[in-house]
Amino acid sequence: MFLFNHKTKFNDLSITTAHELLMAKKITSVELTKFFLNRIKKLDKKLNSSLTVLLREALSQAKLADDRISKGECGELLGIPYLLKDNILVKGIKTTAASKMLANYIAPYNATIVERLKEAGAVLLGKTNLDEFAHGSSTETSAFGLTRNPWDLSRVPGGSSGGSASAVSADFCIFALGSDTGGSIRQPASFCGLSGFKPSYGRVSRFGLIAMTSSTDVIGPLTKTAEDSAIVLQTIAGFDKFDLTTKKELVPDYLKNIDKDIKGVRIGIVEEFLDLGLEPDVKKGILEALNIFKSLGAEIKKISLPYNKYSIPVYYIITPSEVSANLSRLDGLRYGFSFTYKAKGKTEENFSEIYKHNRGESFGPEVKRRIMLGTYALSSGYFDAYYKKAMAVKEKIKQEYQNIFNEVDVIITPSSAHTAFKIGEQINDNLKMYLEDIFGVGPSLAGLPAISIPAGLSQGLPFGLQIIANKFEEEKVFNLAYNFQKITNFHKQKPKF
Amino acid sequence: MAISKEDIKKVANLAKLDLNDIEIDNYQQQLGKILEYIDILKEVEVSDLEFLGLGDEDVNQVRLDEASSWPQDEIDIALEQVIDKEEHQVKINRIL
Repeated sequence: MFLFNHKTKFNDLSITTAHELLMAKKITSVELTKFFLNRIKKLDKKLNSSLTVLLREALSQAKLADDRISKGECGELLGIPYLLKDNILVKGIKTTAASKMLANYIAPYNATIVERLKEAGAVLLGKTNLDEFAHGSSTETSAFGLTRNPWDLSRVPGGSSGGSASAVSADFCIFALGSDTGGSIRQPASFCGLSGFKPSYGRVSRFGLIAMTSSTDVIGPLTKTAEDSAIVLQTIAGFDKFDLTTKKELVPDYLKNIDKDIKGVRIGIVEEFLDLGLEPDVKKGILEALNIFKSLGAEIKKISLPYNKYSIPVYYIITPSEVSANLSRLDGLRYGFSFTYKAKGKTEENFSEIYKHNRGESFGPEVKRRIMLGTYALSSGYFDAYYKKAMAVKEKIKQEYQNIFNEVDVIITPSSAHTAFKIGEQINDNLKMYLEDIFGVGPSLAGLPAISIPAGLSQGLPFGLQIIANKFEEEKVFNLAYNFQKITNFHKQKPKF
Repeated sequence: MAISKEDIKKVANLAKLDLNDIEIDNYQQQLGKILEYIDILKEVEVSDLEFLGLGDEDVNQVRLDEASSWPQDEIDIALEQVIDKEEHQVKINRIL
């Protein structure tokens, strides 16, 4: 039971502890919401984690939640304040994808997950910063300024869901939503000391998520505990008629067996991953974590994933290819940035030139780089050599995971080889930045569920370990993470912010 | 793999992107380096693999091709943002 008195601040609240207090009527959603809104107002100039803050709307949603609680409703997210990555649509609210192209875009409808969170009574506080169109691993490519890491303001929070990670870590909300295409939830969770969960592809609707790589994009939570991630997933998961890649089967109860012991669970550890230039503290932390799992009764088995080294080159063909197709809809005519050709008083202007002006003027360097790369890979004469080959190797990677899951129940890897890097350190070396995703991309290409949970500190900065399970076996991931967090305190460590 | 400046200009045209000379130089170098790195895929033997197509085999689903109407307030928000309109239609320059 969370001990609460009126001197307590709400910083430490998880979804479960806040829910208990709300249900016991010791606090109200309005109090919680005001607390977090004030914190954002007072402190976010240091971080730039949030692009839009919804003062009035959040308070009216909180009042509604309090009404529902007083009428006896008891949903776990009822009255819980959260933040949403700004590539997810909220009706009537600016949704920018951190791009000049969509700087003034107002979403006409709600993403399916926003509808579900609204029905559950969660209170939306605002929208968080990201790499432009989620293209990046540091949140430095946002058109609206970079986001800082609360653990060290000279460092990046990771990306592309860096605004969401930074905000949860700084206690600006109780949980946040991000999107993950090749590690964009897990790597920032690792850099900011959070639990960050990427569901299986097809588990959560993408309707209303601004598409990046449609074949691997997934929405998922950034939270303070693995249990909180399971609670959020429970609400947002499931079939959606607006996204026919979602699975029709009923969503299992993710909390039912979360606390079951892990005796006899077979954990695979990828031997060659431990030699991929890990910082010494990270390597030590991962090995110590394995000992903890062993002490809980799990069985550690050495495995090998030889095809994983091809995951980054495969990803950097498939992703830009899909990006170039997905972003082709942005022309500035129906919505988005317009070069104001009308203002020039010309009517005979070449139509193609208008597109080129609007796009060339409003997309940032990384977005253009990906569009160029993808257009090249898909162009006549190169399609077989690049895209088709990449899809075939992706299939190999998928098969390799499927075979491994005959031998083990889950795989544990580092979430990242290192802790958060310095702002500016990698932004000009795009290949090095792409290698940031080395542990994240494999599960994305294979559509697998994976979580990053805090596993220690190295020189005062957090790092995470990643737990991966077979497709749609989210329960296994939560079960292991829950057991680990029950007997460790890494997830309770906070930045001195 | 080396990529020529002409190729970059051709791709920019296909991608409908205005690029200045500095961008053209940058992307020529950067794409060259990335493509060189990606060349590692050549060593992977995939001839044993029956290529399964472009999507996950387990997620293809179909639905009836039925038109459904949008709520009026959503239409209003969407139309509010077009650069030019006439009644309920987006007005653009002549194409030809």
